[in-house]
Amino acid sequence: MTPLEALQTTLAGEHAALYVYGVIGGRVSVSAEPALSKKIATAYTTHRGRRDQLTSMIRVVDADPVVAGVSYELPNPVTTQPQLERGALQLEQRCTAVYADMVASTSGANRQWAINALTDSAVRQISFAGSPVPFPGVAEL
Amino acid sequence: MPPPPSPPVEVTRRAVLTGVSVVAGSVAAGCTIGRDPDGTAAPKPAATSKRAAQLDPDVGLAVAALAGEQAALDAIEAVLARHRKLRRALSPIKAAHRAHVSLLAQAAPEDYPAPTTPSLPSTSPDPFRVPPRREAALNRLSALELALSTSAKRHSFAAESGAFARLLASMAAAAAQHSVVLVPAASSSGSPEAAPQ
Repeated sequence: MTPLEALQTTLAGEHAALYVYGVIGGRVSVSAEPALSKKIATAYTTHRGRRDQLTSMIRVVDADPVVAGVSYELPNPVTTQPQLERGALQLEQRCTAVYADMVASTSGANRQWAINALTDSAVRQISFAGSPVPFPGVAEL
Repeated sequence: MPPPPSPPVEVTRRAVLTGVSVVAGSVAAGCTIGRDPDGTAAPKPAATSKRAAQLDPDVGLAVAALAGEQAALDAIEAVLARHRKLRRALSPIKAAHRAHVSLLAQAAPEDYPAPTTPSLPSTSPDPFRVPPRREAALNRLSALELALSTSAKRHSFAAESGAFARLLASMAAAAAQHSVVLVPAASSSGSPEAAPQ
C-alpha cells in the first residue's frame, strides 16, 4: 500500500466512523445515558477532526480525497443502550486496525499522526467498556 | 452500501511478523559478516551484534523496546510479590507484556549491549520500588505504563520497517490501555494490604 493509498483508506474509515457515530449518537438518550451520550459526542468530534486533517494531508500531495458514501453498514444491531455502547466499541476496534495499517505504510509526520490516532482509539475502547488487548489494531496476533 | 472500515483480510500473522523477521535476519547476517576472512574462526558475538545494528537500525530499536517491556514485566512481578490480591487485576496486563517480550526477543540479539539511555523513562531515577499500599502501587504501575507507551511511540516513529513500526505502535497502544485501566483499579483496590514479609 502506498502512503497515499494509506491516507485514502484511513479517510474512508473516518467517513464510515462519522456515519456510524452519527447513527449511534442519535439513538442514545441524553437524559437516560448522559455519560454515554457525552462519550459518543466526544468521539464524533475527534473523528470529524481526523477526517478534516486527513483531507488536508491528501490535498497537500495534490490528490483528491475520497468522498463519503451515502450510507454504511452498522457494526451490529444498535437499539438498546448496551448495544449502542458495544457498537461504539466495535467501531473503534475497526478504526484502530485501520490506523495500525497506516502506521505500516507511512513515515514521518503522517506515521506520527497514525501512531497517535491508534493509541487514542485503543484508549477510547476502554471508555466504551472494552478490555485491554495485547496487540490493539493487530487482530492476527 | 460500502461497509465500515475493517482490517484487511489478507493480513496474516506471518505478515505481521515480517518486521521482526527482517530485523532478526539482519542479526543473522551480522553473524555471517562477523566471521574471519578465512571463514574458519567462530563469529565474535558482541562484534557481530554491533555490525547487525549497523546493518539494520531496527535491531537497536528492538533491543530498547525489549528492555522497556522486560522492565514493565519485572515491575508487575514485584508488585504481585507484595500485593497478592492484585493477581486478578494484573493478570491480563502481565500476559500482554509477556507476549511483547516473547515477540521482541526474536528480533533482539541476546548479546547486544543494553541501551545507554533508558528506553523506559522512570518517574524516579531509582529502580522500581513497590509502595506498601495497593492503590499507590497501581498508580505507580500506571505511570510506568504511560512512560512505556511514550517510549514505544518513539520507537515506532523511528523504525525503518513498516511492519515493525506497526507492531511497536500496537505495543504503545497496549501500554496506554494498561495505564488507563490501572487507575480505576487503584481506586477500587480497597484498604491497604499488609505487605507479606
